[in-house]
Amino acid sequence: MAEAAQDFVCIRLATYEDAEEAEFLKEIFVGRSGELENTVFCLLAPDGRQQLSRPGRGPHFTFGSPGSMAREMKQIANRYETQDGDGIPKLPQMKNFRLGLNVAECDALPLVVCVATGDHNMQSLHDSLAPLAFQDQLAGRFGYASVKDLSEMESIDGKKTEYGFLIVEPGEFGTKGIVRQTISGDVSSDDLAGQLIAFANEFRRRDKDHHDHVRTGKENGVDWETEIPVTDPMSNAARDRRGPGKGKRPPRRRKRGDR
Amino acid sequence: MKKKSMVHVFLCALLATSWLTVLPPSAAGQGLKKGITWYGVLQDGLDEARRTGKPILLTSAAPQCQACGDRASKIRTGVS
Repeated sequence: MAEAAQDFVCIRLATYEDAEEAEFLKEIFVGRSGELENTVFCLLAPDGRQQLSRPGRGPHFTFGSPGSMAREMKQIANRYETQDGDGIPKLPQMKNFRLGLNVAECDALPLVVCVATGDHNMQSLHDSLAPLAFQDQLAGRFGYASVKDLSEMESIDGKKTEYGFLIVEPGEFGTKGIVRQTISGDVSSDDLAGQLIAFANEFRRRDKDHHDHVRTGKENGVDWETEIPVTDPMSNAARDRRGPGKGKRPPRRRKRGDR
Repeated sequence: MKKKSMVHVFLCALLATSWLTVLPPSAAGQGLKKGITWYGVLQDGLDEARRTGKPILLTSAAPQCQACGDRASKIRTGVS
């Protein structure tokens, strides 16, 4: 799958976290409810408009298995003549630090955070880091985010810098974390690559049992506040049954006459 | 005005994409397989597709969705 994906630009969004992106997703796929649901999947042409696969809630609905998806992706990629393009790629980061931390935790990856107060300095960090994110030894081994105000990182322990790169290890639920390494913003590209590769090689991904993870989150009342309202009917029904943040199902109401 | 709603959370929902995921845990640290680099901002990804002429693999998942992760887990383990 990863090999087939090299011929694609891979975009992974967080549903309900950006109004404009939500409108784009709704144009691609809505469920029977007619509303945007939790997950959306589609292969698109480079123009971002033409659909190259049946859209759906996930790749499993469209392709059934990773193998068939990879074969289809190869066939599609062969229809396009790709080019190196002018300039360098943009940094493949999440919309903000909060989401970057959450997604990195989900993928059990460390997060590289670019920290700079001014636009010029931030662009300089991005220009150094972005090409490395696609190198063979680094692709898929970090998440990325940017911070101009360190107050966004109040939930993160460890030494921070006002200009440079912070490698953050996310906490269990992706709302906290700790800075594991600080790299100067003035580092050379080779040094930056070397330090990132060394960190990635040493980093041990946390094993996570999905059901245990969910249960612990419920028990601890971990909540997530979305940017826009959730419209997935099943998701909202589950929330209504349990109550926000409570985790445990409410006790069954005893009917009159029950003994 | 930004609207917010408190929802029940599991914070691992992007597992919906986990059979597209980065590197298998066994490969992490060995540098043997190239993983997938994901754009997390729509416009950045669209710009990159236009720059390179590459088609787009688009996926989106909600951070609070438990079922998304469950479905992906079944596919990954061959239970469908």
